[in-house]
Amino acid sequence: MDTHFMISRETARQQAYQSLAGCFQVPDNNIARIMDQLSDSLETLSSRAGEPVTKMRTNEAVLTDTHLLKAEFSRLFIGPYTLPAPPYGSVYIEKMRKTMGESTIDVLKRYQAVGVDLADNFREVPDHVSAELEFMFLLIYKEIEGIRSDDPEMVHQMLVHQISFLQDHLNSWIPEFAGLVMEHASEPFYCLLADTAKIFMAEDHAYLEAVLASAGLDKENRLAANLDVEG
Amino acid sequence: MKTEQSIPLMSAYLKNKGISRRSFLKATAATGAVVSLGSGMLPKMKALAAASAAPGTDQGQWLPATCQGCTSWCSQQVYVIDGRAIKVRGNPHSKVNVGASCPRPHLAIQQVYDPDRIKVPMKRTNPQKGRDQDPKFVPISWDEALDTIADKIMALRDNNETHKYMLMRGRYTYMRDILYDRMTKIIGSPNNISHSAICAEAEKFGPYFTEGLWDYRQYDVENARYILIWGADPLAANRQVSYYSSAWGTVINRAQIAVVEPRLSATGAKADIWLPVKPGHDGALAAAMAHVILTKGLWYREFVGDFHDGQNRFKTGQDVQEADFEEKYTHGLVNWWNLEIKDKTPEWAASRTGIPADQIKEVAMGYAKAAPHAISWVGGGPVMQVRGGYASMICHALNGLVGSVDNVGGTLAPNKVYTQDFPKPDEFMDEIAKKGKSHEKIDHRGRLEFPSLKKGKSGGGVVTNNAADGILNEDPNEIKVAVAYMNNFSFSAGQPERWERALSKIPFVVHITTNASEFSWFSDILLPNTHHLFEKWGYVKTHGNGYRHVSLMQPIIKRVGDYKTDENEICWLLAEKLAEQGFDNLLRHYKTYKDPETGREPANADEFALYALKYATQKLWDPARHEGGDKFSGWEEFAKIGVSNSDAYPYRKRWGKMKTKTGLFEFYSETLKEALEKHAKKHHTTVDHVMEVCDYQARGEKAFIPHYEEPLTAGDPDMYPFVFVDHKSRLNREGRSANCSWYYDFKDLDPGDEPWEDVAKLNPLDAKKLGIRNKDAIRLTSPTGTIECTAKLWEGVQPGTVAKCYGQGHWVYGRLASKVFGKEARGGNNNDLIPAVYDRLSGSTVRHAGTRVKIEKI
Repeated sequence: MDTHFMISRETARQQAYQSLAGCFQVPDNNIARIMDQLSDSLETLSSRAGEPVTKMRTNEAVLTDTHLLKAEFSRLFIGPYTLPAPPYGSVYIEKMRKTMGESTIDVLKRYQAVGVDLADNFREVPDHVSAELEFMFLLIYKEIEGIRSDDPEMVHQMLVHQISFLQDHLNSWIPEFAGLVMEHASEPFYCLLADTAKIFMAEDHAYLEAVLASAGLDKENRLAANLDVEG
Repeated sequence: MKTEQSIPLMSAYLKNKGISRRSFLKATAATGAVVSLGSGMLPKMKALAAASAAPGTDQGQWLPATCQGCTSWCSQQVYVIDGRAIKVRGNPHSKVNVGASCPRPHLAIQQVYDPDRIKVPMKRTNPQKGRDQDPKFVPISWDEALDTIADKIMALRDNNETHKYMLMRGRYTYMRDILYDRMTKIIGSPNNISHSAICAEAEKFGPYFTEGLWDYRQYDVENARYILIWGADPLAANRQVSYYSSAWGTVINRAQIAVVEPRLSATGAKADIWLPVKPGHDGALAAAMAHVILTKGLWYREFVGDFHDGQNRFKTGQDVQEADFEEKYTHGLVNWWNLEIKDKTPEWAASRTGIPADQIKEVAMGYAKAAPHAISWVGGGPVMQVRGGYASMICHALNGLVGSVDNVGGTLAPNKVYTQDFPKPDEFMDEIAKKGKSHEKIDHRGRLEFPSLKKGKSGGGVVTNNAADGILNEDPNEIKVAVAYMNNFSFSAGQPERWERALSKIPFVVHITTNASEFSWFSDILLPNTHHLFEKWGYVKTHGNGYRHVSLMQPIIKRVGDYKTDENEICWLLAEKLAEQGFDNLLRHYKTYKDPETGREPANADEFALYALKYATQKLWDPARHEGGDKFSGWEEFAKIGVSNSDAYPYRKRWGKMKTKTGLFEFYSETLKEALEKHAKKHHTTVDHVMEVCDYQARGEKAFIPHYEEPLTAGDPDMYPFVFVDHKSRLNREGRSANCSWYYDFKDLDPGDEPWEDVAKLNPLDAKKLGIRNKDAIRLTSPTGTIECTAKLWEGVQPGTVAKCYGQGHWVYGRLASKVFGKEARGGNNNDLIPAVYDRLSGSTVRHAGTRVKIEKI
């Protein structure tokens, strides 16, 4: 079994999520480094999302002087005024333009189910895009640990968590969120970032579906299992 | 590396390692339970961290809270699960709201979890200020924000110009003095400017100058047999809406209810009689009612007294000899009759008020026959007008005639409660501070043209809305640094455009608030405030139902943003920053707020907030210091119950001991006479001249008695044919509902209003003449502004008037609040139409009968 190959691929996935999580936080001087990692990981994955990232990196001025980016990030994702693209899952999933809804609590429970919670100095809601992306990063990190320590149960559990989280959360709202970002962004950076996130997560979702289906566990079974759990 | 290559690899791995469908189900089930992650360390992360506790299994509990959605200040309970607010209900432990709750607190759930809230401190990056200038706020740390504010304050202190610091206060709790008073004084400025005068100060004017009570009254409705309501809407807005809404079924069964109001209000719709008075003429109606009560001999003799021989000499048009009447607990009845009432017949009033003379007689007699269980309930409608102070007096004076003041079924003062003031600041005020504070205030209170006679003192009360002109004209000086909290003067004060210019002129403005508003737009630093119902440290006092309660505010949910509380936590943090820069007076002062239980001085913002609250309320919860009201075993029990009630109301204790100059209920106000004469003397002039300068009609002794004054309404009737009638919503959370979808969904809870519309209500007869139909877009124009909204044809407004609810018309405030953010308002702001004019004796800003408008179909 070529675990090295598996690990390098899963590491690329992990780094892609980590980079995206970083991109959806207030930009600082690390943004260029984060973009390098994002680009490298998407290249490793041969992702179509690499294309918008390449465009993002062409504007070096934006990446070196983050003043403009910070203002744009604030306008789109922090407010304090119209907040054209709220980066919160519940706003899209529950259609109420409200934070801390039932879907938010579901996210929090999923974090807690694997032993993590929001960091004390992360003063945002649990279903903030950055936290959800970082959660995917963590799940993959743990999956890789499972591969390394030859703990297939752990690998399996982490894969299930990932696909379930993508399906129930991230991918159920990122496309709409990305649409709003693209509609309201006045700088290409966040427009392209939204496109990147949308493309990458759709690909990754399909990848996980395919892995589990090939392992003899198709989507229908998985859904049934979920229903059992919830029922 | 291709995805196609890795899929078989991963699936083969799972298969080869014996992962079956059975274990898959097991793994899936694990999403609902804690999974061991093995012994591995967590990677470095920003948003997530190792959980410090087991996942929540909290089934939820009701925790005590306080609603400040209006100034009823009801005690509430919030159902909280795992730190999240789920639902709200009235706190059953309160004897004021008695477990009842109005619709407002439910909207608070939408507010606290509004994605548009300010979540972190922010700074302006666009130095230009103006409505067309996007501030371009960016997030900063609390440290950077507070350092910047401390720098600005220290610069004032270094230059001996601390009087150029200004504090603007909107919604407060009773922790207010920490920020409003102590901080302003210790920094060294006279300019702590409250919002009070855009609220309802004129309502207090009548009670003060008749019975010595500068406060809102409570009404003993369940014991009343007649309730005459002037421009108040207790089933919808201010005060004790929850209690009155809950009790009103009983009240209606027991009492006759008459509502004087230009438009059909929520309370009017439930009343026996609606008296649609012409705006601004309430005083004429009250005078005529007094005339009927006196000429019919229906005054309450146990309170007012009688003619020596029992013969009623109050005959229309005839003077009465003072010596013929012996008063008991009142003063100046005969003088009042001779100076004002003798000619004010119902027929005289009918032509001014639009109310038929027979109906005036019927209501006056019905009211007086119910004496002393007859309430004359004075709301903001007749009094928040130019000359409104005298309407406040004359409407309230009816209570004196029927002896309902301080009486069963009547109008009552607040009960005594035993909270205590925070430590005095004096010894922490250095020479710079003392000198700075000695300057004149920016709102001009106490000047000849602004007597603002709060509690009888010249310049005793704020003239909130005039502060904008003070800033603009640098009169008496410029303002360089301003801190404001929970206010939105550039929306909520009449002629708000002046505030836009004034705020643009101040070089450094800090706004502490929950949602970025029209005021924040002109600010340099925004600080995210906690929400009063769920996140704040504080307490309020309020009265109703014959009791007064002290209701606590405590952080009962997890704060999802980086919010801090205006009146305590932020003060402490700023005091620490000032101390770092060498000015530690404020911090040393705050350290004197010691924990009453341990004697420890606070060491951080959290401790300061808690200790200050325990200090202020110690006599309520500490058995050793108990002086009255509910008893608790200690702080812990008080914090758990969340509310302390006073003793029951002591009826008639104030008869003969009122805080007027005579100790009596004054129909001829010696108290006002003294106040006006002192004010005139201060300015080396006469009371008549004060009256003239301040736009009142009274001359001579009339200035000292409750009397009718004609309304002074802006706009030529030919050019502006309609009198504009402003009113409040059942769902206005002090003007902060505009970003809540439920506000719009349920807007038709306000009689005549429509969901998701901002309607101006016209009488169908007027609408027909103007060719306007329901739902037409219309433009209202006054001499000071123009707004656009939707027409609603409604018989609930009388011809010649147009009524519109306050609350919409935001051009910012959040995604829902404005139609096109920053550019186009959703509906119209009533204040754009209302000129910045005043009832100068109380300092109040005018809301009612303030302007005429023209109406055009767009």
